[in-house]
Amino acid sequence: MQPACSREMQAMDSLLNPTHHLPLQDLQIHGHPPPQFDNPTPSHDDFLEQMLSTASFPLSSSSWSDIDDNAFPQGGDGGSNPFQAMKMMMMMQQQLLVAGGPTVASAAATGGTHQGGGEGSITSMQALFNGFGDGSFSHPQPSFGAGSKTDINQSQGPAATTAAPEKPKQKVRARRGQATDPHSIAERLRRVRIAERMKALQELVPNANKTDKASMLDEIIDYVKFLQLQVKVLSMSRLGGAAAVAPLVADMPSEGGGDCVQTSANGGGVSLPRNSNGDQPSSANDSLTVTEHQVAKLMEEDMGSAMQYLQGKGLCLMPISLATAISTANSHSRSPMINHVNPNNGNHLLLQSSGGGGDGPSSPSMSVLTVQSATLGNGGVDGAASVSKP
Amino acid sequence: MCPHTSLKQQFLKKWIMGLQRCSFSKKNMSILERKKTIKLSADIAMASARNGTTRWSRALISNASKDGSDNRLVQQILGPDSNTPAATTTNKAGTRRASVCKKIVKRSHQIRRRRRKCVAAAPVKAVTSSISEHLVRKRRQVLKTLIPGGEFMDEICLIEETLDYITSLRVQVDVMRSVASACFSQS
Repeated sequence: MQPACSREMQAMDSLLNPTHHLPLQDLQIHGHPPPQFDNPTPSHDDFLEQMLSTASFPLSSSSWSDIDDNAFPQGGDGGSNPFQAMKMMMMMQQQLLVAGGPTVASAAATGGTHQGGGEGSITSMQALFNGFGDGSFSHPQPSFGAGSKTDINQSQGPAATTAAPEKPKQKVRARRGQATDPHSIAERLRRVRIAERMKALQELVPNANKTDKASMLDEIIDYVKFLQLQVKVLSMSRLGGAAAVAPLVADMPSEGGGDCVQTSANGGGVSLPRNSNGDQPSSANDSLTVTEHQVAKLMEEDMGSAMQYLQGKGLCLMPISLATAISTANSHSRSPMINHVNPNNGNHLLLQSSGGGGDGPSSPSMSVLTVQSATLGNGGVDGAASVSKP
Repeated sequence: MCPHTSLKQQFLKKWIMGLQRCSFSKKNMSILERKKTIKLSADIAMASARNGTTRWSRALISNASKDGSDNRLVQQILGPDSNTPAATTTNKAGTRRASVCKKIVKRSHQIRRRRRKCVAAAPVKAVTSSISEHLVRKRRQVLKTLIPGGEFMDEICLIEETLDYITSLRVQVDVMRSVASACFSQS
């Protein structure tokens, strides 16, 4: 019954809103047109017209003006208007039955010009009307659902007159569980919009199965940082030519100021490795560059010695495609500090084995810093050295 | 990323155009400058691909054009669209004013809500909710520093801009990576 109720409420709403002037005119100008007892061949708006016109009989002018004041000017609150309309309807029905007026099925009294509204509401209107005609007001109550139970209960009080003065108070209460305070409505709307957008973000950001808002924001922040870092490093890789290691590595902390994107903190963070192992002193920057210089030099002569040197340091050499794969795999976990560079020719990079090297992809914080060796200009072995720290 | 192919093509075109224009001016630049130009041109290309529809792109361009040394670069890259910096500054001022007003209203709402909460809710609940709010607020602050022009946005706007920014960053990374691999795979 509830869908039917909503439909009929909508129909009534649409009816009342544009046509509310007409019944008033009927009452004021034409006085009280006699009811017509035609056959029940309804168009529901005619039925409504009939009801409104015949309801003028038993109604006192004060109550009618009350209804008028309360029912009609509420164009703004669309949620409560149908309920107001329904209340009005029921009140009039009540008075009709109390006055012993005839049950009017329909009539072609006035107008009949507005044939609007869906056909589906006709049957529901009929059903409602039958419910009224039975004289038991408890019928429509469950059909209106939880929406305005309290309102209807109160409006169906012992006397119609007592219902009328309560109308101004009921105007505030629209739905159960929802306040009509405009501020809270705006709040609710805002929260809904934010939730929608967060859901859209969840699909975009990988590893976003978090339900908590704070952790979601964390993931988003990390991902944005990671992407910005990637762009920065990729733009560095294009340089080609003889790229000295030190300026590149040292550049990152200093160029934070001149950047379009404000990632100064990150730019510094990448080149300064995290000192997880004790050998590396605080000036790990220099040691890195020294290592890379050495490796480049060694690689010129003999790859084998270069490899040995690296292994002595606890580093290893790997193709950059593999590093790319690892970095993309790590981007799905929480590892913000990954950047890698495609070298000019050679596809090698250094990787520090973290405790046996088995947990490369699973290591949550692996930073890969790739730079180009100083010997690129020779066109010889162009190795790209990169150091990663767990 | 099939739905982004058009965006990728646009970005690529603009970027290459920008790079060409930049390289014509100076023949030999140092490493830093080259890196900066590449990155700058990529950023500007990305931002201009949005045609000023999103706030972060406008903020990016205006930030870049504010700096004197980069201004020439930006002008070269943007080419005939020289009226965009003026538009962006006015936009930023307008949005700033609007967001300041919004902030004031929001703060009043928060205060009112907090007062209501203190009266109605249990003390434990109020404490936990305020803690979570605090956390979320902190993270939102960080996000605002990340997105260009993000300090002037309210929450809804911020999330929308983040969405757009992430997609454009992804496009940038993909295109750059593919170009790099194309260039360097030959040798």
